[in-house]
Amino acid sequence: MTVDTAGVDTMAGVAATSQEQALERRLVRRARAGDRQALRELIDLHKDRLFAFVRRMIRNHHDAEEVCQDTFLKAFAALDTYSTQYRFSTWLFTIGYRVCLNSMRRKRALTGEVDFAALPLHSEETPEKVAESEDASRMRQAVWEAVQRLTPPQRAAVVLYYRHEHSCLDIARVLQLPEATVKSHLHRARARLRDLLAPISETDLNVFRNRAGLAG
Amino acid sequence: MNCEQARQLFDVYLDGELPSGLATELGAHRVQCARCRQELALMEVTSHIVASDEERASLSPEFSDRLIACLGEQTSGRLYRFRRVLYIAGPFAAAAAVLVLSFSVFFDRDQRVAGEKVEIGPASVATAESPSDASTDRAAPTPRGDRTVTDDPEAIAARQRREAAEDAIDRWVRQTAQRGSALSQALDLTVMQLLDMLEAFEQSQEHESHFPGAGAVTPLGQDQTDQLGDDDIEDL
Repeated sequence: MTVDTAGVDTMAGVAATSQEQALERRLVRRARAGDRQALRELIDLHKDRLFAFVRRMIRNHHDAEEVCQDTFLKAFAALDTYSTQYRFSTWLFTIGYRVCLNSMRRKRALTGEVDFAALPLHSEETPEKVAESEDASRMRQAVWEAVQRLTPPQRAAVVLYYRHEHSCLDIARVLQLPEATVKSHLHRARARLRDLLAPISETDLNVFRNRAGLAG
Repeated sequence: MNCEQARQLFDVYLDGELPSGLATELGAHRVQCARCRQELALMEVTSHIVASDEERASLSPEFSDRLIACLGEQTSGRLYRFRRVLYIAGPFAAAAAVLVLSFSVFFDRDQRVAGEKVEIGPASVATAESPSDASTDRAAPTPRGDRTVTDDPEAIAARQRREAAEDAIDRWVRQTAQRGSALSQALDLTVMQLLDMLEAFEQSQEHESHFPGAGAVTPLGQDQTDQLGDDDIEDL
């Protein structure tokens, strides 16, 4: 007899999500009535995830924090327009994404060219001599620098999809785009990342994959 | 399966949504083709790195406190505007309430002073033929036209009482309007003084925002989102 643990986990996950959504609805209701404590709880519940997303869109720490503040202020000013049919985080990310774009337009923050040739990862003489943490660190740096070179919608789609595990439908709501367009952005982002990271050798990739437990 | 066919399946394969038959076929191609093998490995590593995101940067510890303070300033601004509207509209509402109250008090007092029940109202004033009387010999209302008004002493008395009541009503309305006007003016002066005091207080309390360059906060509107088309974003 086999136990459907996946089903149990799914049910537990669904129950946890429902509880979280119920808590959100209660907090929003109280916040609309002017309850400061509810506002603080909503902030504490979402600020880290929002910052993680914004930080990957805007690399400057101070600017990212400012964007987060503006996002919350706009969200609470327009709280009466929030519909509980969507998750509060989705709505918050929608506002955050637009505030990011406003910020980028103002500052014209273009990422510079990355000289992948200068990175030792693609060199065949150093992988065995470099410590594991440095190797992995350089790999991560290379990947994030490549992500920074994507267009904002592509970057947002990649970060929301992989980092925040949003579905394409949720990403479509955040970016206010059709779902098909989101899938197109993801597809083009992956192709672009493949091109940018092509100098990385298969050896380095396999070393990283083995150590990260991805091989198989 | 060739490389071009395989590449078209990469996204679905990486998302784990490829049917098992095609997944097996792509897996076999991956073993044979170094280029496709590297590209798939690259995407697996990339998705893993983005998903794990080990960046340690975080918001400053006082972020929530600063935000709550900013929200407090926003709320008091709105409250101030609401109070201002209340202060300006309030006196007029108060004057109207005084007028209505006085009107109703007058009618009640007038009925007690007259010692008889007089139905007040445009229709009843216009058509009152005889007073209602608590005594036993109560005169029945007489339809208009059955009597000559100038000859009937009761009708004459009724008409005189009616005219006196109308005059009294007119006087009271004028007096109340004058008193209401004076009251409204007095309230206006008081409100203006209060507003001046409030503005002076807020100017003394005014300070810079905690986040320099944060700018004005406005609710996100459709016009703002419409300005940020993807074409504009592609230029960044």
